[in-house]
Amino acid sequence: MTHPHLSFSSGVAQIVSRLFSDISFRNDALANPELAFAHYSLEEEERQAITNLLGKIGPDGSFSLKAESLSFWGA
Amino acid sequence: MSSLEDVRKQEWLNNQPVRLLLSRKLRSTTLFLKHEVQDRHFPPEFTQLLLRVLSLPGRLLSRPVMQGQLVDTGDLRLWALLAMCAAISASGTQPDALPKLPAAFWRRVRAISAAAEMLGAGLDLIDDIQDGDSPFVEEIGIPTALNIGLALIELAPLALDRARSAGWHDVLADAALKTMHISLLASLGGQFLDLRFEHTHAVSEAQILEMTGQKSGTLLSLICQLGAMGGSLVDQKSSGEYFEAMSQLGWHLGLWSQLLNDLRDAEGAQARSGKTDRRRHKKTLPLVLEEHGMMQTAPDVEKGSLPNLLAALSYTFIAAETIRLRATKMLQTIEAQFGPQPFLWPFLQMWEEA
Repeated sequence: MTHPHLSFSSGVAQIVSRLFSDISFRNDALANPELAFAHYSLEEEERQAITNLLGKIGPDGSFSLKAESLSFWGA
Repeated sequence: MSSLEDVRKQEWLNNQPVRLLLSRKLRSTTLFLKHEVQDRHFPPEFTQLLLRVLSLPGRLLSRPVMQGQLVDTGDLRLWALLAMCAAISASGTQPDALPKLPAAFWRRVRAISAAAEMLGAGLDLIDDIQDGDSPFVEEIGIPTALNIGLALIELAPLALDRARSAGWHDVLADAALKTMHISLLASLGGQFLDLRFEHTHAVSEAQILEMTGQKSGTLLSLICQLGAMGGSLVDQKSSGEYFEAMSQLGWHLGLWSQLLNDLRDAEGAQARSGKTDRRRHKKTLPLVLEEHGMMQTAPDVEKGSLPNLLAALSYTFIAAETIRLRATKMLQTIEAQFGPQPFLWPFLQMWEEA
């Protein structure tokens, strides 16, 4: 098997950091993620994954991934 | 993804005759499994313990489908079902044509699915021994648990070999056996790193991802390849490319599932006591990120703070989701090259627990 692509753009960590330290950035991201992340260089899948994460953050900043309730592959 | 695509990609899960047929095939796999264990003429107590491990929660023998229910989303985590669906996909069969597959195909798939289930049960048990957090291992003791785990792993290639008598060409059977050995060794290497990292202070994100891919990605890569080899014909010109593509798809499925597993442990650890990854100093992605500190843009935020923890969990979620989306793209590419693969799509969805 050829070695799979295993890294993530540095923009992902920068965005995550700001989401939990900068309330106005978080509000902007919740309102219009495309605009808020426009300056970051991200892969298409990373951009979509961050958008999917935003769906789990409430407007008041409350937050739960609820990973406990998600079905997944047990390895 | 549009709702129409959603429907198409969950097609067989909404198709009662297909679910009924796959349910029967899974039950047939368990009969084969039991016979494989019983035919070895082990001491009776050993046989009973082997069957008990194969019936632990989450394993095929414990699923409602064994009591007559239809296969459901909760069964999608069964390695036996993944192998089965990979084989059907490799054969190019679409849901409505499933009943037309010959009996020899199903005998082959039954043996391969049983091998996958034995491997999963054996490796899980050894993982439980190493983690030291299983009531079952505590009950029977580590020496006996080790004995059973090794027996299950040793039974897997023998089960796989039974597929030869169902018309599996030697070229494919030999390649599958070799792939099994190589993948198991690669996974053991990843498992070694996982254990070693517990006693290593500075472990990077890249090292964690590499280890996780080696440990878990390799195993589902193996299951997808075994299924694909079981469903293919030896004279298919493009089979090598297809096996490679399926291997990559499985690797992503394995890494995705392990990252979610680590995320679940890290998120739930706040509310739980016991031997969590955190207490064992496991170097999972969310725990390492939390320890390193995620708040580059706000250096005054302490590493032990809630925002730092949430950022570490979020990054792990994004990593897992990105891997899943890359796998989705891969499956689209496979479909473009090899035709529709409806039986694989449900394995890439995120399902709410029933």
